[in-house]
Amino acid sequence: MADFWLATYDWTPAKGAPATPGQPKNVIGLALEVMREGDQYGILFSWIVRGASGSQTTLVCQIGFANEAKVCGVWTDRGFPLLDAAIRESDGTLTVTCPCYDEGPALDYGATPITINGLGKRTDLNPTQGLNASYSQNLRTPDPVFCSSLIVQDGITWSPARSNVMNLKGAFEVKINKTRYPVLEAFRTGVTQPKSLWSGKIEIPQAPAEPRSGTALSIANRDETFGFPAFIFDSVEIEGFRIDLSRHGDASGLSELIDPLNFHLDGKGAAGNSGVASALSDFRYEPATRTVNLELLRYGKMKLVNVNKPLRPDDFQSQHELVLKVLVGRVDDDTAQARNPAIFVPAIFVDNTWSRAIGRAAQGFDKRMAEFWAKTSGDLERLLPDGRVAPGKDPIPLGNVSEIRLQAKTFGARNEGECLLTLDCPQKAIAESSFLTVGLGIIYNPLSFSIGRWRQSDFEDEEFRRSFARDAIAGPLEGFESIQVTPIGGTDVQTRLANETTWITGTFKIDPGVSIAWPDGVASLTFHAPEVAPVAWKDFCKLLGIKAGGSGIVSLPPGEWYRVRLSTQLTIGDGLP
Amino acid sequence: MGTNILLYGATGYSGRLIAAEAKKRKLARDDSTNCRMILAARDAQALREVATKNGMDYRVFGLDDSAEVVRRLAGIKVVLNAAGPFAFTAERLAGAAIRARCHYVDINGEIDVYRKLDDLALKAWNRQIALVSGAGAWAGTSDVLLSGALEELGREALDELGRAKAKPLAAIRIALSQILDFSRGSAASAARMLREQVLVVRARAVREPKKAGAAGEPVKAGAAGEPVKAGAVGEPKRLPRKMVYVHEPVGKIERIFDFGSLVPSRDRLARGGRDIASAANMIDTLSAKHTAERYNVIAAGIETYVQTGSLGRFAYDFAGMASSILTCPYARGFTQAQMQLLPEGPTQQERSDGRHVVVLEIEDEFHTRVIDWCLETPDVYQLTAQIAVAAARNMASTGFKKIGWATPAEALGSTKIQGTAAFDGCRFLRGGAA
Repeated sequence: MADFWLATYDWTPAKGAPATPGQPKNVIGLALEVMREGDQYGILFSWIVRGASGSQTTLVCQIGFANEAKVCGVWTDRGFPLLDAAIRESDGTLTVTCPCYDEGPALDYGATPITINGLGKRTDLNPTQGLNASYSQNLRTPDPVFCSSLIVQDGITWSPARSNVMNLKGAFEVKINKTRYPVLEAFRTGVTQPKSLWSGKIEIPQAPAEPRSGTALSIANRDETFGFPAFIFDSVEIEGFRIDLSRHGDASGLSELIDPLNFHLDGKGAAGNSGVASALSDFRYEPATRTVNLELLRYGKMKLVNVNKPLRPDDFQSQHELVLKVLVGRVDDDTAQARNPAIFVPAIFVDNTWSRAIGRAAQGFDKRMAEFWAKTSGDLERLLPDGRVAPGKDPIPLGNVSEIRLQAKTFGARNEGECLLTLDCPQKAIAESSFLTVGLGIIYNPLSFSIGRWRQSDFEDEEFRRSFARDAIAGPLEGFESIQVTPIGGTDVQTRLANETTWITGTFKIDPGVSIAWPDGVASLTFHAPEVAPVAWKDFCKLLGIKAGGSGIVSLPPGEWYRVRLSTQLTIGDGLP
Repeated sequence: MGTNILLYGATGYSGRLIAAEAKKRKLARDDSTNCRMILAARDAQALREVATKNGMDYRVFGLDDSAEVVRRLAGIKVVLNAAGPFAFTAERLAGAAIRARCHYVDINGEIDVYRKLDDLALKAWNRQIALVSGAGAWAGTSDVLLSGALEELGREALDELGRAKAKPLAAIRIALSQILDFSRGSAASAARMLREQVLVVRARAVREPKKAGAAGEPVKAGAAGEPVKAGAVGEPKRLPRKMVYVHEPVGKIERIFDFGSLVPSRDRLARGGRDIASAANMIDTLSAKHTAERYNVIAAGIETYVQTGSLGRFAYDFAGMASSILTCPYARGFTQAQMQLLPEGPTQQERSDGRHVVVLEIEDEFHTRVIDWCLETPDVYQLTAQIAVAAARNMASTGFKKIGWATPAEALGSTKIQGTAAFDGCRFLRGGAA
């Protein structure tokens, strides 16, 4: 049971003020709810809408913040647009720290958009009759046909059980600083004097909510919810590792890692109807090679190709990413040569909450929040998404990243999050001169055997050896395709939206001027498989012979790990010709 | 307001025949039926002539700009693609049809194209529309024959628990009589299908794919969904059997079929009766596999043959051996140049004289021939027009509920030959549905 404080406010929009993106119809007020359980906090800013039954306690969460990564992830998947934030309480005052856009183009990772005062003052409590405030949210996933432009919305109602509810009188001061994005203007000006304030105990429901009565699936434009499906990634640094599972583990289970891609075959079996089976596609995806790529990336500048106001075209954000890449191909049961080489990402960890939110909901990447720790002067320091240890300081070289941990609490202590990977790579700061700028033509010269993520010798199965291998080897320096599956989320989410399951294809187009380096020395990677890690990560560790809860070392000689610098553009497509 | 069928490729040889057939079936602008055909093609002048001749509206557009194609499909219920080579048109038009939420049907005969379109089935299913490929004379006829035969044989057998189990058959064989009057487009398609191997269907024991999230040890032998070699270590006693595509060398599979007595006036086909046929790359095989799955049938083999005769066998084997040379870009360019010298297609007289035969043989699991049907049809181009128009018209009707990938028989909504507009002029020489 958690404590809650729920404040409601009268609100009428200022004349001529633009509507907040995502604002529902029939808004009759604003609400702010704070939930606390131990040192876990959740803060929800919501609209009060006139419900179908005339009820005035139907809330639609516009944006929320939580400091526990797992809670944040689960409730985002359940339709609450939550962001990971550091939330600290001191003398009854909560301070929220969350990346926001202010005046400048760079995301401000140290912004403190919200402070809330008055949580400690639980005086003048008056027992009241039960409070029945429910949240009307939407589970969202890309449209199975028009994945790049339409979003399917499944309306659900979450009705948490509230007990010991008291009317609360007294101060509950909310200060919202002016930020450009996220758009909090309505709440900044509207959340002043509470009309009502309640406090009590709240039980967060564990089971999925019931669908909203009378609502079917609805369709929305993607650009109004998640933005345009095209991105520019400037100044990307990569430290990549080629892990040959036939040498470092057991490659026979690799096909299970890409199981989500073959959902359509499961559907055939589940349908139990031969008529359905003959009406669906019968190709399948298979791993093209036993060599899996593990990459540590730093995105210097991530921008949107098209922006909706109040975002601006030059706005950018950064992030670190740990990503597992499996090259897959499409095969039929008689395939002579597999087709459509694409990179599937079964596990991905990022340190940018905005990227986590959009990547999961709209692009099929099962992103989890992680912390990237770098060795500087002997100590490990947590990196901000832009590679700095604190705003205003110089970025730490990517090669200094030594530890990647699952994020437990945002900006929590180092030992709070479980370790996923420890890196011990010599030659951490590679000299500029070590980087070889490659023209795209180099892929056709004899050096090409050693360039890129995959090599001809990686392709052992005959259906992947010839034209498929040629495309896969040459491709990554010009561009490549990615393929993921939506919806992402817990079992309940995937069950509810099972009929909307689809492939999400993306095209990465790499700008000229890629530079590459092959560091000397042996890279030593220590993999950890904590119980709380995502299933795909634990499955990968299992392929390396590491049991759940254990750890193991993989050593890679020179040539099996690389450094790359590039800029690229990602465009999400519909997968239609 | 009625429903509209858009015929793309209306200025080609087959397209013009389809437009004429549609006019005959009262799909012109001024006809009082609820369904109209609108013609489309890239060439404005030629299109205007065909549209004027048949009294139909028309839309001029190419397929380069997919957004423009989707706009041009506004108000259309069914797109009928007759624009070959289908390798250049089918995927784009099917993609646009999915976007515009209208059914797609074509008269394609190219295996590669069929299988690319098949990959779009899930999108079509999600969009609640149907994709049909091969609704022409060959796959159209053989699929309706096969559907009718499987209906006659009874759809389902029950296992000991009363569940429907797949009915085993030893063989499904489709044989087509020789065609001598190729149109230019068909010759180009035939050249594109030239391979050193022939696609056939075989039933194999396979491992079931593992369900997502299932815990368990890694599969050591035979990855999920792959055929398992007999006698593999640890192989369970009875693995489920599944029909899979395999390839056999050209010329390896030959059989003698009884094509009946063809029309005596056609001397070159007058050899009639029993003749040798070679297994060939025909989309009839692909379509038959889908149909067998739909009827819950597992056939140990599905093959499609084409009557070759003695000289034809030699030419066919040679073409198979030389296919790697003949399909290289320079040789293909030369072949295509040669094809430009061919007449556009059979003349009206040749079409009205032309007869064709489709044989269907089915053997039960004890290799007893339980179906031996022989159907005589009109000229393949005329029959293609009849089947394509009937399929599109049925798909445009309110009663058509099929979604996802559909075979020509499903598009036609019938397993009957006699008494249907699609098979007007056809008659059984042997067997036939009761």
